[in-house]
Amino acid sequence: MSKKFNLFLTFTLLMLLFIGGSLFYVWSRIQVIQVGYEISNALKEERALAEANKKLRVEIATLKSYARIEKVAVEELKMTKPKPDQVIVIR
Amino acid sequence: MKRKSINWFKIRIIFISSLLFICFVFIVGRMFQLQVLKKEQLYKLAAQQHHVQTPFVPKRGTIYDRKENELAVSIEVDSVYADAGKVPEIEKIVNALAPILQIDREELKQRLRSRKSFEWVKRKISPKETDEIKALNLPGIYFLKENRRFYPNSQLAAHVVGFVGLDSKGLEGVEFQYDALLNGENNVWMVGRDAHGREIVIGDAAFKKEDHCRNIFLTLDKPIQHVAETELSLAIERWGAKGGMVIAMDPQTGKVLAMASYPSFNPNLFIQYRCKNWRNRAICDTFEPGSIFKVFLAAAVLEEKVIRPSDSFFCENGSYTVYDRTIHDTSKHGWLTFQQIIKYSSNIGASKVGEKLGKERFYRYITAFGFGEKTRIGLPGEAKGIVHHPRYWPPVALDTISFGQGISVTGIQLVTGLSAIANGGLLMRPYVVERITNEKGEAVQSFQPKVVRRVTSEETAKKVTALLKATTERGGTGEGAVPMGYEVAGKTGTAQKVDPLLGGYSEDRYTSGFMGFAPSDDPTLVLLVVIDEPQRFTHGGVVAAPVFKTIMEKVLPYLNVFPKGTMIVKNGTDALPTREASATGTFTEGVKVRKVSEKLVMPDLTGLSMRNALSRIEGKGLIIKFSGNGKVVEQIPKAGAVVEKGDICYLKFRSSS
Repeated sequence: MSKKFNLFLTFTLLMLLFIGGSLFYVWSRIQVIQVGYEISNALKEERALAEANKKLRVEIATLKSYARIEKVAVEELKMTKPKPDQVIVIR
Repeated sequence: MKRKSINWFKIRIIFISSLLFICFVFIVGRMFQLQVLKKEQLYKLAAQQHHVQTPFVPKRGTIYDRKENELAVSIEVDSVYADAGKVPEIEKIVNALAPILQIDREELKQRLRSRKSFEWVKRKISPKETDEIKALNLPGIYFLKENRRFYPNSQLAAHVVGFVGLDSKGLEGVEFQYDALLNGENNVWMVGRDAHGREIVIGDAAFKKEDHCRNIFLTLDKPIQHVAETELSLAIERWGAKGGMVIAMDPQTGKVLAMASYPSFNPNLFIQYRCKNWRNRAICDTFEPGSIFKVFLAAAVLEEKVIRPSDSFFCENGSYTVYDRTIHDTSKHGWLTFQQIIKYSSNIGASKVGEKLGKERFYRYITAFGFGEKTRIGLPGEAKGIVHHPRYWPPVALDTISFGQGISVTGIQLVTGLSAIANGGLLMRPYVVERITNEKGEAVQSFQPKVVRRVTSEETAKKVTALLKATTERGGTGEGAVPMGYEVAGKTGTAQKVDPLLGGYSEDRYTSGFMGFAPSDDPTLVLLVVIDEPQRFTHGGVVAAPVFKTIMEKVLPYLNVFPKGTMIVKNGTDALPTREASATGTFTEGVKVRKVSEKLVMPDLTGLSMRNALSRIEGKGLIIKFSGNGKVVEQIPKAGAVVEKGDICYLKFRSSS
């Protein structure tokens, strides 16, 4: 009786181990796929952010155009060029 | 007889077993077919369904100036295309798209009627247009990412930077010259796709990070370029001229700091301009330099020790006949020293000096200064000018070439030649590209100053500089070129243009120019200004010299070369103002170091000795200038006037005896 019981116990344990292992494997695959989705989204986001960054840089460069700054300074802010004797260089 | 009973149970077992066996054989067979026979084909099919190949738009490198200001950048934009077969109602789609994209309705209709699976609707549209079209959710209308070249400074340095066509192919300037380096490789971004079509990264399926496109850093300096372009266009408008050019160069290295041509264009909309506007006149146009060329005659004769600056020549009172030609001077001169010949720009004097030098020797120096060959600046379309061998010179050519007629040069050749005088006799190779970097910013190629050859000795270069300095002094032809507080060496030039219809020289069409460098004792910047066909006035000293002056006035302080008398305050806790003439270290006489102070009332200094007077106003931060010696007889500002630091105070001393 005890011999039969031991065999049953071993078999059950082996089955449980097998099922547990299988479930773990499936779970890990699902995790891999999930992370794959996340990486994919992150890469997309990275590209979009890099592009947005580039567009902002272009905007900065456009706003820094000397022709524009000079126009704003002279026409809107009514600034004039200093005479040479009005210039003090600070170092 | 007992009938043998049929063992149905056994039959059923056999039947089921056979059925299972057949099924098994069928499954194994099918597996063999799928896994072995059709393996390759099915793998491909699966890969096609599982993987998305996103074509990665090839990037194009950025072009910067030397201070890392962007001059040309690429940004991703959308292009609209139509799968004409999937467009249900052409009329409706066209009516929806045409107002947003501002395109011709009929043309679009025709293209959509072709029923092709790919038809461009409009390429490289704005983000606003993309949003508007996406919101309409039109069937059969799709978007593709493309790179669009964008020039944030519009016209700035357009001729040097150049532009690209619709397919990101460089067509002019640096964009053309370095096209292969600027353009990256076509990459494909491989990602997995699930049953719902969502992207998923499997294994190492990411795209290659390296783009292989290179960024280019130019030697141009945005502020200098801006000043050069602004002043050039103002002068051209003022004189009603046809065109012009300005080139600024660092004489010690050959770096081109600014290169401006007029007429100009906006490279963002280059197609709207006539192609003559695209031409970089500074390197492509050849012209007769006129009197500017006397600089090189002077260098040749002084190096060969044919004459000395003090040697005199008779200038024939303004008219000198050589063979069949009569050479004229703008004003009549009798005897002039060689220095005066350069100062007053006498053509007759220059002819006689040239005659003394001889054509073989003159030709040797002309070619040594780089005329008649390309400077190899690294830009497309460079001209080499026309310099014939003396064997083909007509008899009068030696005389005329001496004052810059009968020879054809480019602007860049002139600037490079003058740089050789400015730096002590070394002809440098001019260059516009400083370094080329990869995506990470590591330099993959950098360009260093390169000496082509020694043309004159340092001593000769100094002598020529002295001659050119005299030209910009009072009474010289270039006196209008001197910005306040600086010393300039330079030469004017006014050349008659060749009349293409009548042959010979035109009476009313001139090229006016000024070429010089500053400060004359330690040259930081060599500048050439050429104005093509100015109206009303034509003389280089009137038309081009003021442009030179204004540009120098604005650019030299930017290059840390301040005019004499500039107050320089050290930004520390004890804020001690020092008075420096320039970065070159020359101090103005009579200017002392003073402490900063607030507003004060000018004391009466009359009758005081120099020591007493100076001690009374010491430490007020005033710029003190004085003349004479003895006691103070005159002071500006007058006693009692409110002055503040930085104000100039003139004291006139006179000895009482």
